[in-house]
Amino acid sequence: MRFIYFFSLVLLAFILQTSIYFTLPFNINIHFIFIFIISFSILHGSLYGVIFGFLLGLIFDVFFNYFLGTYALYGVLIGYLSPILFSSYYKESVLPPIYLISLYLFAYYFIDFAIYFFQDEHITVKIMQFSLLNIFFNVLVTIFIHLIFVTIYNKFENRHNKFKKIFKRSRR
Amino acid sequence: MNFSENKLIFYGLLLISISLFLFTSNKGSISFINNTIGVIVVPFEKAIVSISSFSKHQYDLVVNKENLVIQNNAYFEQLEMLKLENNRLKHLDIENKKLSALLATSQKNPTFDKTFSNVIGIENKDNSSFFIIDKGSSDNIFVNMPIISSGGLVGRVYDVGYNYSKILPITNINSSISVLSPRTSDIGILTSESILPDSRLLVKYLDLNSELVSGDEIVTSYLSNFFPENLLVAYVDDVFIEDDGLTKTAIVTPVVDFKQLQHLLIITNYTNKDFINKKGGQ
Repeated sequence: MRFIYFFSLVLLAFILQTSIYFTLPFNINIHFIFIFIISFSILHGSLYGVIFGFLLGLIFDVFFNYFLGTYALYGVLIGYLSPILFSSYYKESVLPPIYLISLYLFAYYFIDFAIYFFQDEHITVKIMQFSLLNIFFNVLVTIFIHLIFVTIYNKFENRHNKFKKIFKRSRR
Repeated sequence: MNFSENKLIFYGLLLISISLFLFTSNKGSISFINNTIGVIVVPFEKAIVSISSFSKHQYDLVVNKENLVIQNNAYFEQLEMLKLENNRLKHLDIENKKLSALLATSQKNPTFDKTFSNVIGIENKDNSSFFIIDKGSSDNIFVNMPIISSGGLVGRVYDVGYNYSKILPITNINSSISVLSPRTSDIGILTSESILPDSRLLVKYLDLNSELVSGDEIVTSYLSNFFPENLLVAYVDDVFIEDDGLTKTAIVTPVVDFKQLQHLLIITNYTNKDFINKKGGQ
């Protein structure tokens, strides 16, 4: 059950990322891959987060990269760092994913910004507006997706605890 | 879960991804990993695309029925006009063939074999860098085949898997193709301006004396290795002189609407054998 949940989430993140582009206004890019890795790794720990990030990154590499490995590297790093950076918060809290997605996207767009900073003022201003708009919408989607993940996680945990109790009783 | 075990897996995967990055960067991608993942993932993508197009179709049937009828009538009129035009062109074609046979010159516009395919995924990134389509090496698609849609050039095949292919569109910042204006016969290089999604397409390195004006057609030139001649690419919006004062640059809009790209035609009989399955820029 857990494996099916795991792999279906990987597929879902990839499909959402690649096929929802047709419908969004203002050229907004929702980075579903980042959001899924952050939420998943915060709830399930950095071990599962790292494997999740690696698989998702590898699939993305195969289809959309010039060579394998870069997105897989991002996935591994994000999956490992996300649960560690804000470990003092509750898992169910929405704040750590919001901080993390803003941080990652800021880093993501800062590279483009830095490249064009010395070349073209016009494009630099455009990148700033575009990245701020994107961070705002990504944060909105992050809240929504993290809440869904938390409800699923709680159901899993309850069922797990029930199983544990049953086993303990039978042992007695 | 033990903390040291946790760290071990982290470092292991980190090492794997870095080694993948290092060892696949020069030799192209590893076809085994690509094809395995393609075979698993592509059917899901196809299913999602077909479901979404089906639901859009049903929605159109119910909600946009009146618009569809009006559109249909407009298309009907257009079809009649095009039929007339086509008849005229057929006569011209026959005449052209006779005359060129008399002059013993080769035909400039050969007929192409085309294969139909659907877009099943777009990288949700800022410069829309690759498209995935649902035809691969099992359908005799090879690298560097030119791709057209709705009368305009889309790009070329960049990489082929067993049941999918990657397309490098002309809006990609890494794509640069040689183009020509048939009216003034100026040659330039078509590139994308920046990594932003709605960034403009530019035709760079035009001659300073060129007389391009807005509204001019831009087609593929005879210098290109990958694209056939005289494929319509874009229309000129504006022309300006570069800051260095040495060349002119034209801002163009592509004929194809890259935001609503779904159906493509792959030209399968054009690509030179020297360039089949050779990766790299132009």
